[in-house]
Amino acid sequence: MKSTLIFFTFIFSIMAAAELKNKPGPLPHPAQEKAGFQFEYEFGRPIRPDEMTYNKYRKLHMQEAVKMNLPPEAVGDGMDTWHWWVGVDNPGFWIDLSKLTAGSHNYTNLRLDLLRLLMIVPRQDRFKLLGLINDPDAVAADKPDQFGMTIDRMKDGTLQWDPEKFGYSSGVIGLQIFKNEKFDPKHWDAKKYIEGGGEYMQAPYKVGMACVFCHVSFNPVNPPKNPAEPQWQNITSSFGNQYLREGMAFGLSLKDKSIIYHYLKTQEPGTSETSRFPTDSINNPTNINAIVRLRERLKEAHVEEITPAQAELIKSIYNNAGINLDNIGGALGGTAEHPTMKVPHILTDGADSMGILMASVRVYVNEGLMHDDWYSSWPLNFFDIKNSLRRGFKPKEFDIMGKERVGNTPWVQTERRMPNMATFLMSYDSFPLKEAKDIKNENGPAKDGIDYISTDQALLKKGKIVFAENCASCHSSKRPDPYPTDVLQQKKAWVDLVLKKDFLEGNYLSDDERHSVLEIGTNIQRAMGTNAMEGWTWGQMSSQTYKNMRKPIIQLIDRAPDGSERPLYNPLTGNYDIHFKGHAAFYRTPTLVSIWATAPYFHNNSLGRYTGDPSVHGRMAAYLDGMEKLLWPEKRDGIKSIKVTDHVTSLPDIFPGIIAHHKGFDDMNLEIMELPAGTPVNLLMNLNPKHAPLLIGAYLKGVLGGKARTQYKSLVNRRREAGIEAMKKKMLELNTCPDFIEDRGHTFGAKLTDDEKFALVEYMKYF
Amino acid sequence: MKVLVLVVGLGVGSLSLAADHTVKMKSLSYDPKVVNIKVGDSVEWVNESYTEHSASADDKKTFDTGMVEPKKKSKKIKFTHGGSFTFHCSVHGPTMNGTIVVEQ
Repeated sequence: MKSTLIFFTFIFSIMAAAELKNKPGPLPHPAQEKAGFQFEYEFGRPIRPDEMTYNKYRKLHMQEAVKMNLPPEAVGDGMDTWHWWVGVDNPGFWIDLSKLTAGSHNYTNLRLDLLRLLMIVPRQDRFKLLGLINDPDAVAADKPDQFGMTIDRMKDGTLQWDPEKFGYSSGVIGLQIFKNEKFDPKHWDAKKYIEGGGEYMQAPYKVGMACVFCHVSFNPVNPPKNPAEPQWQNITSSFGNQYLREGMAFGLSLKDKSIIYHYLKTQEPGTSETSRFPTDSINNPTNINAIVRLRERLKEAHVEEITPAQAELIKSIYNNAGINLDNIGGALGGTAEHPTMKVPHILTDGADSMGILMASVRVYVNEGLMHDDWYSSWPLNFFDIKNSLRRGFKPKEFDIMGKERVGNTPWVQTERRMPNMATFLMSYDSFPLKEAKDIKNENGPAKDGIDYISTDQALLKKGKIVFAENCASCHSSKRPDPYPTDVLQQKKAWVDLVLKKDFLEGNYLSDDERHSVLEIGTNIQRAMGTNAMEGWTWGQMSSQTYKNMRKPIIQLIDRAPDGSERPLYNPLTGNYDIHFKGHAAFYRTPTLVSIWATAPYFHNNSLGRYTGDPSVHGRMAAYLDGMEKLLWPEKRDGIKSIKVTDHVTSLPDIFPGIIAHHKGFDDMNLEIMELPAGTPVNLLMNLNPKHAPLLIGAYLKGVLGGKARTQYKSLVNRRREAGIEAMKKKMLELNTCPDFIEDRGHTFGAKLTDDEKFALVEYMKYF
Repeated sequence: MKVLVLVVGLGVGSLSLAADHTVKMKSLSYDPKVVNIKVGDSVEWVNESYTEHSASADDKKTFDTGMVEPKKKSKKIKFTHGGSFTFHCSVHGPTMNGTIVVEQ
């Protein structure tokens, strides 16, 4: 083990100061001046000459970027930001969550603690259990460090940046370790820290999250032999981690009695619940999509209206970031009174609608940037529940215009890093199946990508025609030009275009448009999210066009196999009888680039089998299953895709705190209000916390069955089930989004013949 | 004339006392961290680590070794003035720091 000295920023000892007074030198280095406590960062084994490191990976990527006419230095700088920048202060967010969920006051039983996670899940188990991707530049610690902590060590020779700015690798790509200035060695006990309870201890390290944490992936065309120990040549930084079990990373310490455990366990791999903390009271994780062919995507940008105040904000941001007002990532236009922006639609519902720079910094807020201010915008602020109660769980806008950009704030510093980061993200094109080399081991047949591809020209031509006639109008960034007005002529024009040899070249394979959920027919929960609407946390970051599109109240429907409309499915009755009205909602067309490698499908990763296998073999198995379920809807899970508990669960631990302020429930024991196994998770998770007292009231009414309130104690043991049933009905009545079937909709291919479907599946392997 | 001889003599004496000092560049530190030298002495940095380092004066003007590759050493830097000169690695920032104390 190599070791070196790192200085903590504690008060310099009196002794050292006295010594300095007596001698003419040396003077302390500025970094030492604040320090007094030292610890040694212990590196792991030295790098080997033949090993790929991040630095080499970075250099190779910069060389590739030159071929795409991108400035290599900007790409390299943007790559560093993507990999290591934690928005200055987001480690503080994760410490706050750790503090909230570690002490004896912890009412949630959750342990939201990334540092603890790094220690309790060994390196060799992280991918298997949580889908985390290990940093090839690190190795497992072979013994605890001086603080009794076993965190992966960086290989000696791999640290090629300033650790004060970018931190040290934690061993997991996207989680960076920093020294914690608040650490007090006198009160430190590593074992107690892991166990939790008691008084919270500040740990010697803090953990920050970078964008790559969610977006990193194994390279589809060069998968790792051992997913727990990938090499850099097996990594690609922006394809999206389809294996990430974000829910379980948070819920690891929970027991199956907890409804929150089931909420986290049933979160699909490869999704992120970005409205988990600033909750919109809808359980709506969204897929971490692949960022590919960004330049072509930006050409599909749409002009949207913004307010004059938003235009001024954008001008100020662009000025700070040193980019032109007409930059391709979000060009300002219109007039002073009616300003516009030409923007790509970001996020699955297209809510991020003020350009790439704004969307990128918004992601940093989601990771904890400016967290102290962000908390106050949350309807349910876990750090100040009394305040949330006082304001009736109403959200607020995260105030970029008024507060977050005053001075050199983390937001402002992060803005300046975004243009290069966007340039870096433009440097990814696609991952062609024909180039994929599979791992050769006992886990699967040694077939490379080329072995899965059909060269039957008649079959492929058929597939192209099916695609042209049924898919291309949404799933292509190239369009017939001129575009005929006659419908039949349009079909022909599409076929002519798709049959061209270069149709797939530089094609983003999406129109980047928002389409109504009534048209798409997929589960509406994500599209119904409210965080980008006026008055909500991201209200200042979405266009007026988006907000106006969302305003109408509409009837939300499911569709029967024959395409006819029907109400939403009711898991309590087993019938399609939920008549639900809500705000108009939309999904942006996803790209189909490298679709062979991105299954399962839909915005919620709910369509198709999750294989958890990053090999070419594993990806193809997922592709074929996903495509089969896409085109043959009768093979889908349907009502089996509803997220349900598989254990008796209790109400969320937060309930007692909420109803404590309401009269009439003092004699009620919430612990006995157990929900049976098989209860739909979203029956409860799609509720506004303000409704908690109504649920308890429904339970009470159910138990009483018309009898006097004074009879409760004598009735509760006999009539508990009646109480639970009444409460479940109330949950459905109050549900913010009662759409339970996850894999429904997008049945456009259902009426194709089997031959046409098979041909389409073969053609799309070329995407 | 006598004055001139004295000056030359002092000069020769000074030259004869000038010494070379070596600072090792480790993974993320300098060894020794603080070097006490005399005016006229020289310092060279030997990179014993697995990655590039520099020794760059914090004041951005007194000295800068430039990048020193692993297993290589820097050019010698001669210190002609007294004072305390803090330095750091331009790759690894203030975490990797040291001080040269030059006595008159």
